[in-house]
Amino acid sequence: MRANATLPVGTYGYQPVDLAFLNDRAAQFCDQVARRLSGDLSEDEFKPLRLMNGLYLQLHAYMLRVAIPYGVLSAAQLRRLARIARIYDRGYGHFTTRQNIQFNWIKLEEAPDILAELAEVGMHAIQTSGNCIRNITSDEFAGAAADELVDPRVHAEILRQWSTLHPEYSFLPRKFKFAISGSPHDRVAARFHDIGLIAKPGADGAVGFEVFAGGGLGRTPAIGIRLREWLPEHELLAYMEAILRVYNAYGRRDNLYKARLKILVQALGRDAFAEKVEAEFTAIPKERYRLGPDIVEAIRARFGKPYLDAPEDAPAELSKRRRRDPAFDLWVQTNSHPHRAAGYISVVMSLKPNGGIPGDASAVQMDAIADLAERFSSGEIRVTHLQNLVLGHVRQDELYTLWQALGPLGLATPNRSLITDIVCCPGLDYCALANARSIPISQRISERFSNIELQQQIGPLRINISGCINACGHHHSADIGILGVDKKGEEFFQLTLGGCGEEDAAIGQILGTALPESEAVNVISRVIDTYLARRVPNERFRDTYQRLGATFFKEAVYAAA
Amino acid sequence: MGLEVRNNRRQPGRSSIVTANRLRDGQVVWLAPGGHWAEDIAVAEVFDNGVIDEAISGARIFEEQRVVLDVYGVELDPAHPCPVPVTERERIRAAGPSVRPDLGRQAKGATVHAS
Amino acid sequence: MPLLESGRIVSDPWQKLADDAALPSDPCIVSLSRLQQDEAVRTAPHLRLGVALPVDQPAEVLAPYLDRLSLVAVNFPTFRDGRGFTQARSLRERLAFSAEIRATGNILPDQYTFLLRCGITTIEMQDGSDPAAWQKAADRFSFAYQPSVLKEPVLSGLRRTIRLACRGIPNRG
Repeated sequence: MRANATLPVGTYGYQPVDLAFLNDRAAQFCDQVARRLSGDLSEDEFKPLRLMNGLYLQLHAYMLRVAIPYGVLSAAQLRRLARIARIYDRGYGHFTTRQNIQFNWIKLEEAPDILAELAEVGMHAIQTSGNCIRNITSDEFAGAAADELVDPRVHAEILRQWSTLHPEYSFLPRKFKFAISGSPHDRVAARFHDIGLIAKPGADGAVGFEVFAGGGLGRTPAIGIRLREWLPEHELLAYMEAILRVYNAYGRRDNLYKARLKILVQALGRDAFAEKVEAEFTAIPKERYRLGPDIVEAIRARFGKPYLDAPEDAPAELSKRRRRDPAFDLWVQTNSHPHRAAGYISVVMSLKPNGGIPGDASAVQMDAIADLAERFSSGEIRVTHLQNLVLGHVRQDELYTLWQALGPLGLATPNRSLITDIVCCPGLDYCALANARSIPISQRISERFSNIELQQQIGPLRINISGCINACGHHHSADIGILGVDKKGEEFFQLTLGGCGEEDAAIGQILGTALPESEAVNVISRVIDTYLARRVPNERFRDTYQRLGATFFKEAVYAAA
Repeated sequence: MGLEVRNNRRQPGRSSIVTANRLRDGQVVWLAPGGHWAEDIAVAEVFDNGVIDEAISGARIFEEQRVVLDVYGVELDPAHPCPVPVTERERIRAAGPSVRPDLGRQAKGATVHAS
Repeated sequence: MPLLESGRIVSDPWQKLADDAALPSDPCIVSLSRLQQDEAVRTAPHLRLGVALPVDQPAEVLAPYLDRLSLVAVNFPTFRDGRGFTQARSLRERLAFSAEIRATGNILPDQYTFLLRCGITTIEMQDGSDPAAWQKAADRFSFAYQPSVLKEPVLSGLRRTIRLACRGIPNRG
């Protein structure tokens, strides 16, 4: 429980050479900023360079997207983010649907200092934007979940390193997103990424990967095709090179909105695309790109191990507390996840308080969570792509004390996976690309359904909200997706129903014409009422939707509108 | 609707102001009389839509001088005596996020409010 | 236009040959279509021949001509169009091309290390470019996290020590 290791737990421990690299990168950006300010670089030349260091020009100021590789932070790193929020921003940060963190009030001239401060704790903003390989996302319960077969974070780190300042793939047709899971239960939405990998064990302990490619959300959602059922570990990098090379060579360069890998896969057709990849893979010199077990082990050795030694009565102690405190019991029911080690448990700290801004955390909260992580979870914090935080390795007999500490911090909302656990992009309040505000809709839904018993009665239900068709809220992969649209200067929204980001991936279907934003909560209520009235016991929303059909729900929603 | 379409509102008889972001810190700024860039929309120089494109072109010199970037025009809502953008986006941009009234110009008692 | 090689401006012996121009005796770079269609160009004795590979063509189209070519020029219509990196890399790795690969078009000094690690040997710079900016870019990082077509010793793990001719260490191999 108290982290003994000098290595951070769950994330890669940077060696001096790696930290030097981050410092070189920060110095490089400092130089690029100076050249921009002096006029040596035009904005046109500078923009891709600053995007590759995560710096956007957004609605109010520059926004900095800091990388949280595969969603894992050490306590020291989270404290540094809190400091960045306090010193350089407005005292808070926003956790995103790609497990990164965003600061919204950044000054260009301070960005090099921020990068230097991040480098001190092994953090950076490398390739969090731009037409390059982005953050590799992973499972928030990696290394902890009882149902996990392979901890994917070592390979996530390998992919991160391999893709960092890659000489051939830094100027792709468009952005490129990876996700990797080690559990058959896909918590990473692998099939909605440019490349999705499912790590699994093979014969005699070898590790291999199921490989999906060409998935994505955005303007034209697509489910990835399966390229390989089994890719052996030592061929991982060579095969990734093959896919990236085909994309870099053949992806469209003439139209920004048709440049993603998913478009290329659809244009070529899955067989032709797969053939091109295999042909490239065959031609790649395997020895040069071989991922030997020695390299994997060397990187694995840089991950600290969590403290996992609970007293035998830990589960009994937890049960006792749950019996005595109904509010605690409720929170454990909704927000915990089974751990592979006896006497341990993982918990979700919800960043979706009643009426709150989804995914936002204050510097005060971040510092407090860092302390709690050190006290209760081997100093490790995870960020989920559903914009919550996780402590992965909590001793069951200490869970009650942790919960008591979370409450006053506003981090104990018992709504994980429930209707108020809403995923929401920043929308028109922050984003220069947005057409409509998204956060106020989220807040009003959260308030309308704040009653805990009602939420429990509804059961697991995923609502995602995007403020424009770029779909950063991933609304296509939600039970109920809400897309904000601008109709003649007024805020409207469109509903999609029946999406799913898990292994039975599905793209939500548009229900009907756009409705005024003022009606959003009433419309959601009608959808929920319909579901509650017509579902069979234990039926998930999307199964009820499939069974009854879109027309049924459409009538329910639009008849009363 | 793309940014280009949004920012090309030029209804005859209406007025617009010129905006940009300050290069060094990204701050939203408005072109004020005398050619300086103000953080307060209330002091922006108002142009008739007949001449706004000329004003925008003229203001691009400040991009070349690396004072600002992304110069464009913002149409005003004629219902207000002081500069209030007609689009919600620009009102939020002028005032601050509607969901955080404690942040942005609105926290300093700005004339434009996001919500 | 100044030609950058190993961090220094060098004289350029090559000229670009228009499709309808007569064959000179000096080294010349022809278009892909001329290379494919004009047998005289391919068979001219003692002529050092180069080709300008269009950005949208795979390097493999040059396979039948490689032993005749002393130079391939890959083009960057904008510095954001990264296809030239793949073309160069394919030439080195898949096609075992060992002669000069030249980058032309719109390129930033910040891309220098990427270009070199993809097997490009010379850069046609815009007039007025300062080699110092390119050298600074090449000197920035001491290692990279992935193998490249260059002979780069393993530092540790995935890391490869960057070895570039402009840093005083030969990289041809």
